[in-house]
Amino acid sequence: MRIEARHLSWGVPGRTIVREVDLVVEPGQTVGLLGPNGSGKSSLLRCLAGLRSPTAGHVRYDGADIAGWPARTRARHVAFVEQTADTDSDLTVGEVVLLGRTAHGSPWRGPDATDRAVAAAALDRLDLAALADRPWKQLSGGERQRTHLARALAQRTWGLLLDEPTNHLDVRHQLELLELVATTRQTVVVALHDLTLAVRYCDRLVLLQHGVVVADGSAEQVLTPELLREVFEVDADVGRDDVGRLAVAYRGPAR
Amino acid sequence: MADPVALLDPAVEPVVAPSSADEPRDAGGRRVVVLLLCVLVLLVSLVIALRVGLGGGMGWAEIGRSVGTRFGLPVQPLPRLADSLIWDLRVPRVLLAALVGAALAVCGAALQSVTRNALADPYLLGVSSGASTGAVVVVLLGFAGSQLGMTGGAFLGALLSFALLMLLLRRRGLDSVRIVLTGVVVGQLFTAITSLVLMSSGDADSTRALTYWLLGSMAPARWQAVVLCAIACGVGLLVVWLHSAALDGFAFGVDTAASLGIDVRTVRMVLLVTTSLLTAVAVAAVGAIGFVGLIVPHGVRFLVGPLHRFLLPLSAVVGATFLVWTDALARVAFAPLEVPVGVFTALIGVPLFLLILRERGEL
Repeated sequence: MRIEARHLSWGVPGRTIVREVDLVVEPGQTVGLLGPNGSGKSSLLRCLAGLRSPTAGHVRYDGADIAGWPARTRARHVAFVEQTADTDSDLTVGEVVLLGRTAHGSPWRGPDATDRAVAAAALDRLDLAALADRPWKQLSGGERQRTHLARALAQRTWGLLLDEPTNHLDVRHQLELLELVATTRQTVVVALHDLTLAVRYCDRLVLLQHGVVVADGSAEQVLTPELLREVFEVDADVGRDDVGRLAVAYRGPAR
Repeated sequence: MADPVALLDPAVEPVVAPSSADEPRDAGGRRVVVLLLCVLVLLVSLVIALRVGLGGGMGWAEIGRSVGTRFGLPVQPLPRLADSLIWDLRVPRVLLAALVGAALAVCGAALQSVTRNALADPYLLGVSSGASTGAVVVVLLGFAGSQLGMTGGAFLGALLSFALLMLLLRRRGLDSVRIVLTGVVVGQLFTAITSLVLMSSGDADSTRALTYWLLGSMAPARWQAVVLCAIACGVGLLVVWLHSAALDGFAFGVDTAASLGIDVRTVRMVLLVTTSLLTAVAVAAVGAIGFVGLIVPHGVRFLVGPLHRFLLPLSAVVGATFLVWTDALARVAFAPLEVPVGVFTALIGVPLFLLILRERGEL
């Protein structure tokens, strides 16, 4: 599925948070959304997911403007994972993953055999099968994050919008999760803080500053020392690692 | 199991045989057993509660004769006065306690999910106070005998207090302490309005009767209220139960709920109106009984977990049982004096309220 933002703006009264964003994500692409805190990554993702109505511009899935789409239709096209979605409720891992089937079943009955099989496959995929009956309150931060991603996969959508999915994960699970994301056939937009991981797993990078796209392209085009200095306020060397991949080495905060 | 990769691939329709042998085991079975057991306990409670505190030297035989006559059984009818005590006062009272208990417990469970707040309850949020104001106004306007009129007034009052609550919480989020404090403010406002209306336009007799009713008492229960309550509960509980999946989806907040395919605005509106209606019917029938909506769902979650398609029906059954017994206690604890049942639910509810606050680290 092709995800498209045209002249997209969004804000709260008195403050524009996403400004005139033009972004096209081709089917199957994995796009990394970069930018410092407060640059509008989360807001842009929420607009792309249809959770916020743009104050100007459009969001299109495969060319169709999603404004006014029923929530159910939207949820069959894209799945969204928030940065921190916590709950007081004591659902088990398996029950949370089954929430991903909400838009598929009839609202009048519980999950059917298909829903259960899909949820089981998603649990398996995220290495959570053994934790299926564990209550939410007993999970570590990383397990919660993986549960949310399994829930999103259980939605079986062509689009995946992920806000900092590697937060709280240990290194191995960070790599596993991003590898999974990068190899799916789905169209993925993923907000990331870790530039090295972004270079390693994303087909394309988009750099945001104050809600504006300041760079969009390959790692070489986006992660230049000049842009890193301007947007992230860090001094960094950009070079190549042993396998020829772009590598960022920080010298320190920009002086 | 079908190929797990294909199952997650949106390009492939998932095909799973409904009788698939390795279908994950369903914890639903155990929950259904728990529900059936609780229904059984409720039925037994209803029967026993008929007998508890029954005066005038009457016992099971008289209850059997009074009820039996109504169902055309070949029993000797009771004298009119005795029969009336059982059939016109006791039976509707017990049934009404069950219906009101069910309604309030389900309201609490639904509100706790919609507001994402463990302390939500129609009484604590001030909705019961709003409903009381509405009902009192209708009574003083001269529709004292009309259960439907009182319910309508209570419904308007409940909606009004809900609207005020939401207005005050707008843009502020629904965190526990704030929502409860705001609920207290709304409740106090409507209680003050009720007192003002009572003092300015009620005569001494109606003021005394209404004040007693405001504390929440089953004593004035009549068949008319039972019928109205039964219809409203039937419809209301069904509407709430049909939103079980959406209520589950609210667990992680509105954004995740919306991304799961839940129409957050509509669902919230439908549920707030439905819980207002249920609260209004309950308040119009028996006054503002607090804490049932807080106590019961918390207890029930221990039994069947947080999924609403199990939580809601069981809350209804346990809420009914809870209020039937609390009302029985209210009849006999200081006999022959009768204590308004709302006093007892508060005595049980307040410590639990503190316990929940403490558990959440907010006290």
